[in-house]
Amino acid sequence: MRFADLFRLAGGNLLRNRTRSAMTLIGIAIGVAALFALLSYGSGLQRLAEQEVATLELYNTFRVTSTPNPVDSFADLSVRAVEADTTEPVPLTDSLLAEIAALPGVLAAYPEVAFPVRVQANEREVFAGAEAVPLAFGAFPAYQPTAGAFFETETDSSLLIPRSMAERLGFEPAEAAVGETVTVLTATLDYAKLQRALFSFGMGMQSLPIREQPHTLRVAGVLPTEGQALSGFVRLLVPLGLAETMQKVTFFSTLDLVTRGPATDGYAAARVQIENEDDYAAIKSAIESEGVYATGFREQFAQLDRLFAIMNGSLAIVGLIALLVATIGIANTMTMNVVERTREIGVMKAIGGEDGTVQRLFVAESLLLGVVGTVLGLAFGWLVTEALSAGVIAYLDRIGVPPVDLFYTPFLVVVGIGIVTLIVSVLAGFIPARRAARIEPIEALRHA
Amino acid sequence: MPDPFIRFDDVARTYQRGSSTVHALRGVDLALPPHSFTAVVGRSGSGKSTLMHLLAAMERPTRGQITVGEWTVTDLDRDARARYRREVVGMIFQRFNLVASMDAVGNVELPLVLAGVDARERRQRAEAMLEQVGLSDRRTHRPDELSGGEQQRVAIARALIHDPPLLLADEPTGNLDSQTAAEIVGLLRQIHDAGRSVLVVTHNLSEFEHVAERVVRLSDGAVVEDRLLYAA
Ligand SMILES: Nc1ncnc2c1ncn2[C@@H]1O[C@H](COP(=O)(O)OP(=O)(O)O)[C@@H](O)[C@H]1O
Ligand SMILES: [Mg+2]
Repeated sequence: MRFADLFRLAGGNLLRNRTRSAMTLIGIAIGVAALFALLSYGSGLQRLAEQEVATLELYNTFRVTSTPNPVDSFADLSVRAVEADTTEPVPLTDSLLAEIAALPGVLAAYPEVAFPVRVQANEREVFAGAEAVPLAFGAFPAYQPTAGAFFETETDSSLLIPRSMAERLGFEPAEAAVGETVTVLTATLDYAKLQRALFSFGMGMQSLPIREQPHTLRVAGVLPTEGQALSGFVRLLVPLGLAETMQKVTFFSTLDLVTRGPATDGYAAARVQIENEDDYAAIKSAIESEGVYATGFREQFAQLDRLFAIMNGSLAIVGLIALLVATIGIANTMTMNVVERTREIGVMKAIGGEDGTVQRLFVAESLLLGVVGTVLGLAFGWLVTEALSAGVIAYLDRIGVPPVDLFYTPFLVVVGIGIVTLIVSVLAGFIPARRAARIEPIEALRHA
Repeated sequence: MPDPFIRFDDVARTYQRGSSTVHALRGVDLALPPHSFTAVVGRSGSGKSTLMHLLAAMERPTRGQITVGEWTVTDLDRDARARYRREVVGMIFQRFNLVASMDAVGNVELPLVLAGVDARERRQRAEAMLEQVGLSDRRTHRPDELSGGEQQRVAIARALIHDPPLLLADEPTGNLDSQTAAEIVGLLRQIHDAGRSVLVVTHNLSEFEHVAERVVRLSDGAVVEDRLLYAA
């Protein structure tokens, strides 16, 4: 039988029991849509993370610590031996950082200073994560204000805020914030309270020994948030020198305390920004020859990729389960089609149809269900992701966060889903089709 | 007598029904010349249908050999039997057995579709065939829109579309009134006159008395009569 006839007959047969075919198609479409939406979600998150890393130039960043950086091991699933560390940690001092900064290819080496703040202006308040940056960062596009200017000096009493934060603080338009002053509240240990708590052995302590310290800072500029969907809207920048003079606690969560390692003299951690990724390995070994530990963000992102692979894999498994159910639906439909048409199959045999021809006809029916179901499912999945995406963006807009497209569908995902469903629908139709092929022509005369 | 076209040599077929064995055919010998018109008669259960199924290679004998022209029917594997049916045999049934979802043309061209003939050619041949059986104006009707006689005509057109030398018919008039039955018999006669061998199974010999050249009577699986009705 000719190819075109095969599919013409198969299509005609599927139209004979419209309800059954439609139900089967809906099943496939839901499975495909689920797979599509879940994989688009996983890919979307991965893309956002990768964009952010690239925009912030983190591929060229090291985190330097006196002791091995335990953050490394969070995403590392392998078991490693615990080694007793006998060497004395080398403190991260200003002179050591100056030495590192002087290495060829190093743009900046500076203490890592990040701390939680509240920002107030126009009788409004937002939470933010403050990050200290050296003057050298003015060279990066992501740190270039779209209005105003980067810091003039290390000790400027000024800050840079993302555009959306300016809007949330009531500056209309966001550029109007440039030159205005805002109040930044840092958390700091309340020694008086702490002392009292120590004398009473902790009894009678009503709250944590923390109080807030207000700082009045001028908005030097407004930052773009493109490519920083995950954290851009909460990050504000202060010059390094200013940050060092501000009283603050520098942890966002207890995890920060755990990962900081044992206390040493000098800074808890430092960051090293390099100019060119070709120098990556050379600079890493140069830093480590000083006796400190340099962990490239790049290495952490390799682990991040692995985590994303695991996440996408898990999402795919959930989607594939939906598809498996749809496959059982195809097999069931095809079995019913074969049983119902036993007599007709017998007639086809009696008028010269070969086993293979009959088998191909039923595989074609199954394949056709798969193809149409896949097309419907992809369209349906796309509608679902568009709707969810629009919903998320509307919600973020209401709370003043720049739009984030959570879904991203690589072409490979579409191709992959197509291939999987085609294979699966052929397999689902195969056993019923074989059964049809084995029907004897004499059946044309039975089943009266 | 010329070389026989159809030959049965000591053909037997038994069926197992529970613990008892049914002898549907018990050592049948037959030799039918080319272009013959044979009526196979006998009481219900005498083995007529079994004989026809064996001839159509729809079943295999328990014993013996069947040859049709160059074909040793009893030696063929599954695909070869399908090819034999496609090239040698046209078949019509008591219950017509049309495909309900296809119109008359679709049913008639189905053997050509299965054989991989291209669309334009098979459509032409199907329409010509429908014209021959007098159904040109019913081309696009589905089986449920046709009378019994019309359905059997469509079935005959389908059986002949691939131009087989042998037409087999099992009780082709069994579901038709006598008027319509006579028309179908007339059609079978034309088909025979056009140079084909026709073998009809019937329990009503009178319908075929004036067209059949030969009568083969079966009783309890054995040939009890094999005579010419008039000289061919
Ligand atoms: N598939 C079968 N299984 C068991 N017995 C069968 C089968 N086909 C035919 N028979 C038996 O073989 C005998 C001959 O049947 P058949 O050739 O159909 O007779 P006829 O067509 O002359 O009425 C009958 O007894 C019938 O019951
Ligand atoms: Mg019978």
